[in-house]
This record gives sequence, structure tokens and C-alpha cells, in this order.
Amino acid sequence: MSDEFLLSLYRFDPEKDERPYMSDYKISYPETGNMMVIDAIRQAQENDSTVTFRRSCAQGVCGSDGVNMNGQNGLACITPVADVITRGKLEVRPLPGLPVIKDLIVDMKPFYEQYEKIKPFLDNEDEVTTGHERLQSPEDRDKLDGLYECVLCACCSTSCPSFWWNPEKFVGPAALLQAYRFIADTRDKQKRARLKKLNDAFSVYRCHGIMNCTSVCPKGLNPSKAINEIKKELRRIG
Amino acid sequence: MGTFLWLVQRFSSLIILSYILFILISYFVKPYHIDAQVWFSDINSIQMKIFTSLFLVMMVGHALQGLKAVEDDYFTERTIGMFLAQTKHLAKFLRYSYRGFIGLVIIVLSYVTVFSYLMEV
Repeated sequence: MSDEFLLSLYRFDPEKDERPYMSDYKISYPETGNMMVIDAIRQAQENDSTVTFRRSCAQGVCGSDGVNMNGQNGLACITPVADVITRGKLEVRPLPGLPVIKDLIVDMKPFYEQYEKIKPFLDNEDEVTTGHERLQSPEDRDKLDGLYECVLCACCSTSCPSFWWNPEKFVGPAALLQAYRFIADTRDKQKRARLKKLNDAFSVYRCHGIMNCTSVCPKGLNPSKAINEIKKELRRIG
Repeated sequence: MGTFLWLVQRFSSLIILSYILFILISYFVKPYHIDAQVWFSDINSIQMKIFTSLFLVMMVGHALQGLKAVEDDYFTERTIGMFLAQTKHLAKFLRYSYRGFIGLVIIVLSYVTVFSYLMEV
């Protein structure tokens, strides 16, 4: 294995640049050989302080550093360079389908607007009989596994062509995963209302099941399955 | 509405599939390749006229949904502008031209079906 590889970064500063361009940086592998994509970007930033990217926890928990690496969306902090590099070159671009603020930083507003649409909170006006919490059986709680763990990194939604073409009308895999998280929650009392709100030609049904969302989810979740569950529920209520 | 359209698409695909299978199987069971008169008499029977009309209606219903999805995805300012920013204002024109073309195809298909097939004795 070579000691170095080429990191090609998408660069765009709307205040200065007329159009985006790619900048190449030679990156050295650390002595241990293990390197995450975020470490490579940081190394590039040490050489060129104008390189701009978003990061926070660097452990795959905050979901801040979603980027497109050699064509595949993922979190730069938990993606080893070795997994995505091709012929000694790694191209890192911002998440597709979202407006670029600068370099690798995208405007997440369209994504959060979709999340807002599905009302991501428990809606239950019944009195809490236990005094402090709503009880749920362990079996019902198990139904939420694989749904609540989403970190809202937008890797799934921005890999979905239906999101690229219709972000205002299609709700997107991340928000639909969360929609099902509340539809499946026995403590929520708005199941029917939530489903009815999704019952149009776009919100859910614009998903054609190509499963890009599932293949890129850095947390190993399955938005495609959740979307199918929503479709089943919609058919159940008619 | 979303579920209704989804069901229409699934149901219509079953009718389309069964019609195609019926025609294919008939071709192997009946002597159409030897005697064309048998084919003409079968296809012009009242049962086949009903089945063929149903097939065409289902085909149009099925295809319209797919064609609408193509329009929603590609004949928009966003998509056309993505390829060439200066042409994005053409989106509306292209969208209506596309609809007009589809409408024309449906009219021609309906005309041919009604006057050259269903009303033929």
C-alpha cells in the first residue's frame, strides 16, 4: 500500500467563486494505517485553511459530517478511507440535492422542513395515569428498534432520486422512517391522522423502492422497510 | 388518493398481464398461424372486444401514472435548469407539450379502437 493518496475535495465559495471546482491534496496515511475520511479532510485543512466542512462528535453520533465519498453518501467520521478509495484517489463532495453553503457544507433546511412535516413528537392528550410516564409493554417497545436510532445525517434522503426531484412534496426516507417511528408507537394517539396526512401521490408513494436509502444509512437502519410498513398501514385504513 | 392510485396501478398491471398471457397462450393453443380467419373471428368476438377494451383502459390508466411520474421528475424548472440553467424557463412549455402529446396519443388510440375495432362487425 502506498504511503499517500490523492484527496479531491469539492470547493465552492459563493462569495468568491463563479462555479464549483475540485482541489486535490496529497494525504499521508498515519503510521497505524487506519484513517477515517474525516481525518483526511482535516489533514487537507491543515495545508489549506480555507477548506470548510462540518463536524462535531467525530464518532457517528451527531450526524454532522454527512458527505458523498467516491459517489457514496456516508458519515466521514466513521467511514475508513480504505473502504471508499478507488485507484489511490478519493473524491469528497457535499451531499447531493441540497444547496451548498460553502465547500462540503450544505443547507439542511429542505431536509429539516420534511422532518417538521411529520410532527416528530408523541401526540397523546390522554391523562398520564402513572403520574410521570406512559407505560408500554416490552413487545411494543421492541417495535421501535431500528427506527429511533436515526441521527438525521441526511445521507439517506440525499441519495434518493425522488428527494432530488421533489423535495417539497416527497417526504424523504429519513422523515418517513421517523414518521413510522411515531405511527408504530403505541403511546401515540394520532396514528390515523398521521397516516391520512401521508396519503397522497407524493408523500410516501413517490418512493419506488430502489433502496438507496437503506444501502447508505451509516447507522445500518432500513428506511425502505419503514416506508413499506407505512404503505401497508395506509392500505389497511383504506 | 395515494393508496387509490397505488391500487389502480397494481390492479391494472394484473389485467394487462392476464391479457398478454391469454393472447400468448391462445397463439399456441389455436391454429392462428395456419388460418387467419380463426384469429379474426376470435379477436372480433364480443368477449374479446370487452377484454381488449378493458386491457386498453387499464393500459392507459397504468401508463398515465408512470408518465405523470416522469413529468413530475423531469419536466420541472429544477431538473431542466440542472442541465442548463438558461433553459429552465422552458419547463412549463415542455410540460404542456408532453401532456398534449400524451393526450393526442390517447385520442388516436381511442378513435382507432372504437371505429376500427369495436364498431367493426
